[in-house]
Amino acid sequence: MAKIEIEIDGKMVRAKPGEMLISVTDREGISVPRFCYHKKLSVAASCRMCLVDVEGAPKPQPACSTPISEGMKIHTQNEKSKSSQKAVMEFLLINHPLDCPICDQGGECELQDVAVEYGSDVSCFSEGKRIVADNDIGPLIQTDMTRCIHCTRCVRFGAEIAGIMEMGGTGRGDHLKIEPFLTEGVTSELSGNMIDVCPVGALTSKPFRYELRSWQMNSTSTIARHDLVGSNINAQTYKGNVKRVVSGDNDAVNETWISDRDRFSYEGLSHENRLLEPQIKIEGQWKEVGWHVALDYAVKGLTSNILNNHQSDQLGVMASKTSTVEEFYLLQKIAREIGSENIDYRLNIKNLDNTAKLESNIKLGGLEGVDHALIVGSNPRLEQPMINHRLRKASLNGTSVDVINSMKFDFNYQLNSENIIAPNQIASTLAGVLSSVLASVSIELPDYLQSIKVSKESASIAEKLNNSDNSVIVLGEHVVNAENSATIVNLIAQIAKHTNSTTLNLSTTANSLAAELTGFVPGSKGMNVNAMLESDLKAYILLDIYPEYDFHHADKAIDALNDKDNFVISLNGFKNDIVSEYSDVILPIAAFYETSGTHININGDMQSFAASVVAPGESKPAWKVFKVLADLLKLPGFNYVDSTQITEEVSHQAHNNHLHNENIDLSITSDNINIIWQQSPYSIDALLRHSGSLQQTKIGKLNFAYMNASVAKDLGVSADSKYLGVPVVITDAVADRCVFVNANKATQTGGES
Amino acid sequence: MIDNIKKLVKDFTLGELRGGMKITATELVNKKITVQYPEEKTPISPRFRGLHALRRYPNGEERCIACKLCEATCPANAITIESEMRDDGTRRTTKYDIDLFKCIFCGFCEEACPVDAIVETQIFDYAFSSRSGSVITKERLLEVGDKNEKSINQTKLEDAKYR
Amino acid sequence: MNEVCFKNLDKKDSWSLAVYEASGGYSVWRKILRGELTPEQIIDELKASGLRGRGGAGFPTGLKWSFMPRNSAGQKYVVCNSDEGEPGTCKDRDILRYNPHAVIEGMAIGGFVMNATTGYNYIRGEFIEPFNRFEGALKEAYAAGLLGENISDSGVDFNLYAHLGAGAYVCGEETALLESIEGKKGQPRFKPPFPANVGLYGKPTTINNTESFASVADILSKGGKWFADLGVENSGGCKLFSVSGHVKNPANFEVSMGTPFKDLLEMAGGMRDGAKLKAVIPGGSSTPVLTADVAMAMTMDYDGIEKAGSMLGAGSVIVMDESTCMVETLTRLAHFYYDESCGQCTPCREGTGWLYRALKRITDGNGKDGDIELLLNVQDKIMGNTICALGDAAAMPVESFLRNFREEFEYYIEHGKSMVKG
Repeated sequence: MAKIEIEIDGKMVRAKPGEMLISVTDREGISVPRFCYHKKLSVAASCRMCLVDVEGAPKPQPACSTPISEGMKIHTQNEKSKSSQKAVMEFLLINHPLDCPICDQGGECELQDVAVEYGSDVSCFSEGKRIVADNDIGPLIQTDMTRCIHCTRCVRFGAEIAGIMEMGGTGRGDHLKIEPFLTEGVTSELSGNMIDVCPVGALTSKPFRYELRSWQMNSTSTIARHDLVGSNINAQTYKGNVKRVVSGDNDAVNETWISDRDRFSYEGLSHENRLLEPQIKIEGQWKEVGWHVALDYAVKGLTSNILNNHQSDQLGVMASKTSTVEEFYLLQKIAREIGSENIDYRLNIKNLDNTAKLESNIKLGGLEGVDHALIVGSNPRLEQPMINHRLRKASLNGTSVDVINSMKFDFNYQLNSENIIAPNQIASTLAGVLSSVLASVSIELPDYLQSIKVSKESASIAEKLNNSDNSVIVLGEHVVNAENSATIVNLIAQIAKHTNSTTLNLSTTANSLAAELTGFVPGSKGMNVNAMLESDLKAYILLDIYPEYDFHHADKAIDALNDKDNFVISLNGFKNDIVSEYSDVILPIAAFYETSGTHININGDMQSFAASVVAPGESKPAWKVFKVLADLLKLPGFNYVDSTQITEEVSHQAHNNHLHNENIDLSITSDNINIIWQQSPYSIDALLRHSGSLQQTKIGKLNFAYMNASVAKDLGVSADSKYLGVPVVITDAVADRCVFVNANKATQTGGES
Repeated sequence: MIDNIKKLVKDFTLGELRGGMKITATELVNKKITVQYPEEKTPISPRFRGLHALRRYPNGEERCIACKLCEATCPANAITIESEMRDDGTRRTTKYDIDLFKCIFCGFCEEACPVDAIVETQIFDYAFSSRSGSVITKERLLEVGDKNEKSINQTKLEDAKYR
Repeated sequence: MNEVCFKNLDKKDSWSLAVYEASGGYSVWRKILRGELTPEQIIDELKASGLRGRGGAGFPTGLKWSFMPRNSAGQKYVVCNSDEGEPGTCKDRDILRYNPHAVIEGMAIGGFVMNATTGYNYIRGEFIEPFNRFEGALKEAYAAGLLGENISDSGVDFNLYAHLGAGAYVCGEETALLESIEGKKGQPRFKPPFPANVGLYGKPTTINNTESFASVADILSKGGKWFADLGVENSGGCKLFSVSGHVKNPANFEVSMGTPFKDLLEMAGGMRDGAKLKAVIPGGSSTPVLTADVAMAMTMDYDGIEKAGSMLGAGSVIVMDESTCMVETLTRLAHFYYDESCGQCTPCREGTGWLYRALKRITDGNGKDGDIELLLNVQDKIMGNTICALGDAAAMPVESFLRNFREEFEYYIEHGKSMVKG
């Protein structure tokens, strides 16, 4: 669009017609005070702080809601503007308590900052001030609503971004109160952003309450590693501890929002369960030792168990999905240098012979531009909050969304259709879709589709995909352990191919893309996790693994690792009894925020970060431990001084691919009850499990096995009993012949069906 | 030449000695101005900035609310505060240390305090027996405040009208 | 007197369809349905009539209707504002009670002109009786085939719904009213965009006052010139005035524009108990107060009242006699605005509370030096800085009360008691 010229404070400025005045002044660096305006939220124009003088207008106009037009002349500094701004400032301050000394926002408060410039040092207000009672709105956000200036940023955030309007204004005039509508408080998975958007101290971080002033902390920008997005965050540290996390800006990744998981997980860093000293097990007794002793012991163990016997293929290495690129790379390099290709990170997959590959070939920003989305087996709101946010934005712009799930979830946008079916029926539904798609483009049906009857639902899903120019198919993590998961994934790939859809694979989270890139997968002669656990290996190196949470076959894994003859080196951040039971050496490693590294997100962005703080006690970044271990093992090629050298080397490596099942087999039609086992969103990694406040939230307490009445009857459980150690909830929201488990605790029977 | 003659005359008439003796004689009868410290003390301005103290409200509640403005304003970085939410929900310090070796007694902490908690008393005669003794803790500061509340109150009152 | 909206006032069951039709009602609408009138003709006639919005702002109705993007695609709406909340006003109530069909016909005509096929009449929450009358009239009109889809095979659609408010003054502000119809909290929207472009449910919408709509049919049947000639230059037609306060017979009077205030007072039976006139608020509580001398010399039309230093507003004439304490009156008004501010924007939310609290303090006998300056200062800071006109409405009386009756305020502050009541 052609640009127009306007005059601001005597300076000619070019801008797009219809653009709001405040975005022009912001771009030009002209300061206009504001409270209710936020660049990512809708305009409210209610605080009136940004009033400026527009020539020709009788009254001062709010810059946030005044669209510019050719030849406009604006004065932001003249008497008329200033007097309006000062008037508004005075009004805002009359009922605002002067309790800055005990307010956590003090020092980073927009009201304070603007008051310094526009406020008067003397108030002529001598009446009583308004006081507002506070509600407890949850374990994450502390309220002090007497300080509220009714800018409604939090209300608009809830309604527009979180997609659930939990805060609202009740009452009117002087009695207007911003409060949650329900006693339950604020439960959204993005709620913490309200703290960031609140310009005053009305909403502050509860875990951080009264601890520090903003000026006392150092801020380092880093990457959140709990999901596939790698949100940009700022870790604020004081004396070597992370004290608070706030969001960073990156339009291509997380815009300016972050999930509560990314914001509050730091609490786990200072948990009493942190491992602080290297330990070795001598004759069944744990002994805290120095690094030299521990590493020597580890090397000795490896040497005597495998190296001396020329049984180097008897080494198995495994790592948690949250490991960094560097950690994955070094550990697999050690294994390969020793001579073993038993390398794997896919601990939670039931059947590793039955995996299939689905690329993610759409960027986060691109998601907003799709006109149709098909979601299969996912509850994106809780699993990938920031990706769900993009889908929601798309949906608000008119994108239609179809869902094939095994349980009705609480989507925060309109769905075109919601198909609730058990995982073993998803394949036939998708086959119907594919069949319908192929028919519409006149491609002959392959054999496996010949006998497929296209259901009404499949036909309508296919029609939507066919009619869309820019569609995406999103695959979630609920089908990874279905008997026919490979078939489902391959069907999706086929459908995407024939409908020109992009695909988004959310089935493995955290940094699993890095594991694939660095070759942290079994080599051609190597074994995968499940094979390793069955073959009595002589030695293991385990990176940040807590078997009762991480393994699908947890019992089998613990049994295998507990074998007396093997030598297990565990690198962990937190103490864990089961790990102590089977390990021979436990090396304390740095957790998130304490190590440098790289995360690869769904965009394929390699986002590197430095350590924000030094790891506590004797714990060290895992990449350093591996480097020294490799040196002690006299392995060549580990001359790294810092982690960026490793990153460099990784980027030059060829892509190391492993085999996938590419068959589509529609003959599997068992009538078993399907169990979808999933760690609840705030239990997916060790740090989250140790962050106290998150665990007290509604999402943190998700620990339920959902099933319908007939399945409950078949399984012989009732609403007050437990199934697989998880309390049963009987609901019709789950597909028949299906149990959906969200577990926040460890289990011995996890996922065994 | 003239100067030399003047000097000769002065030397032979014992002029300097007599001058000295004259001062001795007058001071012998004049009023004495020395004080017998520590038995006697000179008066101190109410604005004198000596040893720090933390004050309490009359009901015994400590005044300090851990706003950390004193810490922020201290030009010598002598103050270290740590804070938390006390069980009753109020904002309180868990640590309030002043390093008296760093302190330059500028009084900014007192000026910055919104609740008149940290004050500088008129106490100047204190000593430490160990190097670490220079760091005066919250307990000691409160103790100094409790012991001297009366005089602190008095001096602040005296000074109030000039502020 | 009583020539347009109140022309059937003296007839039995004046609100029935039969009475309305007997006096020529729905003849214009039927003409439109027969295709004998074009929107352009209607707008021209309205412009000629000099009809100005009767809700308070006085914007020419013909001009307003011509602004609607008539030929744009998509739904358009016509909305009638019967949320008559201004203290002192009760004219729309009586139109709805005694002549609801005039409103229906006016809205139908508006709908036709602006190509809006749906209309809403937003009726004040407390108006249960008028609401029921209007609903009754709607039923009659539908039964008579005057509303609905493809009315009398003319190809014209018009559906009309009554919507009862929930009792908020601010919902009389047109955009707050739209929010309220949409089921949201009644809070004004910022402008631009104006309702003519983005209105109800985001569609182009025209909002007029009940009295404006009720006048439209007569203007079209008798001609714009006839209507214009009823009034004076720049203030065409007649106007309903709600005369209240210390008069013998408080009532609604439909009189020609330009009638002297003196005559209007006479119609209301003069001052009660022979008391002396002290002050008049000519257009509803939000308009500036006038002293007796000024009021007695004033004529009741847009220019006449403006010349006297106030505004015609909604035509609610509040008459006050010598026994009225102006400080307490202003305190009462300030409390009204304090209570009715929606709370959305800062100057109004905080300012109305401040004004009320300061005035309350004065009437409690705790006034202090500088309070008058304080009140003037606060009202000045509210004025012009708010989203809607409620802020200005709260500020304006303060300025005029203090200007015209300053000595009463000074006395109250100094002595802690009223100068009038002692």
